[in-house]
Amino acid sequence: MAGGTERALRRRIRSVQSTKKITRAFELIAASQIVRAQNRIAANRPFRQGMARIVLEAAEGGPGAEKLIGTPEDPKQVAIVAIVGDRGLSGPYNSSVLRATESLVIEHRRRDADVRLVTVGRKAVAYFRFRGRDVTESFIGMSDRPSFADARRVAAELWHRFDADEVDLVQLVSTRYLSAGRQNVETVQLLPLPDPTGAKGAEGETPERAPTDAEARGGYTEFEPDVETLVAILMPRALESEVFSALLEASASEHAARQRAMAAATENADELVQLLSRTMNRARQDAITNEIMEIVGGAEALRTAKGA
Amino acid sequence: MADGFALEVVTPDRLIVDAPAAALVLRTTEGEMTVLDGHTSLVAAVVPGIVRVDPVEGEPVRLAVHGGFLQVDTSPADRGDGPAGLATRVTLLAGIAELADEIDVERARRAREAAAEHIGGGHPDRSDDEKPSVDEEAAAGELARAELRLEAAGATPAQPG
Repeated sequence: MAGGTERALRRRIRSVQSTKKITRAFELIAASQIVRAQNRIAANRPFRQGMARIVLEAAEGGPGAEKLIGTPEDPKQVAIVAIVGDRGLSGPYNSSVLRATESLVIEHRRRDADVRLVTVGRKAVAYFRFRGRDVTESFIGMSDRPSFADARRVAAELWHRFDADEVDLVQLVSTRYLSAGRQNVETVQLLPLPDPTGAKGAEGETPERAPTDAEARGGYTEFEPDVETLVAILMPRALESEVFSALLEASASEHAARQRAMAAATENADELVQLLSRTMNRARQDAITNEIMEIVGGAEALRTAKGA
Repeated sequence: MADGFALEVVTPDRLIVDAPAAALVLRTTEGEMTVLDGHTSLVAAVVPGIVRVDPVEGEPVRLAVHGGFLQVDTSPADRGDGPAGLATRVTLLAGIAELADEIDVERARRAREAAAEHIGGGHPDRSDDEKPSVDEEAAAGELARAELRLEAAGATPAQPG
């Protein structure tokens, strides 16, 4: 019986150790992906800032199109885009975005607005299907290494619905990558474009030199073609850029979250192995002690029997 | 002024050109234009075409730009070093753009053939379905891009400094 416990523990230790090897491998892979994802965010920055400057310029250029810039007061048809990953094993990464999305949906429903869901990532599909929510459109296979073409596909879908007046507000829930140690779930407005001339707080990333420029220039800028036409061409492209940046940041965040989760799992496995080893050693010692007792007891009994 | 203006040609994942330039030649929705130092502030939609950059140093560079936006920003220089007191910054944003030298001619040729075949072989109106037209649109875009690439790349050797 005692030998049985020891054997069972030994098997358990071996299994924990092999799990540890797997989590360790995932951790290392994720760590290398973070660096790559970070570089891609950095490479995207000039484009993102350039686009923000142009949008600002166009927004300042005149009344343009009210439908395209600003925030609707009481949107009745809302589309919400949620960006998560295709795979799990990334700690709270997927669930925190999905929970934020869910509460946003409830908030809109409460004011009688119609909500459509557009999702990126396999995990979102499973989550919403399980809860019986209709997903209007879902994209998968882009979370690991999003390309600009991916962003285009998502943006085209959103633009199509917005342009056809099917929706009057498009919001995005995704994870923003602040640093390797900090990622936040954020909700931003995609369409209409949030007014960049107003309080710059909402968007977070505002071009650093833009405000001074606009003041210094005294507001004279030519547009080719005229502002309205230009804004109409610009919006879908600006949307693509926003979506692409969000995809890149989400991807970097996912890798960071996975690395953390897997590092924690590896550490846990270490502790577990240590604990199990101790228990196993004790069991083995007990078994040996027992055996000695039995032998001594047996010898004693024999001697007594002989002496008698 | 002899220094030219600051030019950036940017795509979503790369800064293609980041150097002072003497001139930038491109086509907007309104027609061909040349940007020189001191150009009025401008925001323009750029149509797909070949863009030429004349850098301050070195030989002209040609790029295939598949549509984008141009921002010219001429404003009083903060640090006031320009003789006219104005600094010009030019940004060209493009979803897809590539340097003529970096274009893979073979690949572009293959892409052109594939796209042309797709359009030619397309079945006449399956009116009940939207899919074919979307496909055809994509193929037409592909064809236009391939042709622009070939044009940009093909002309490169014919252009001595």
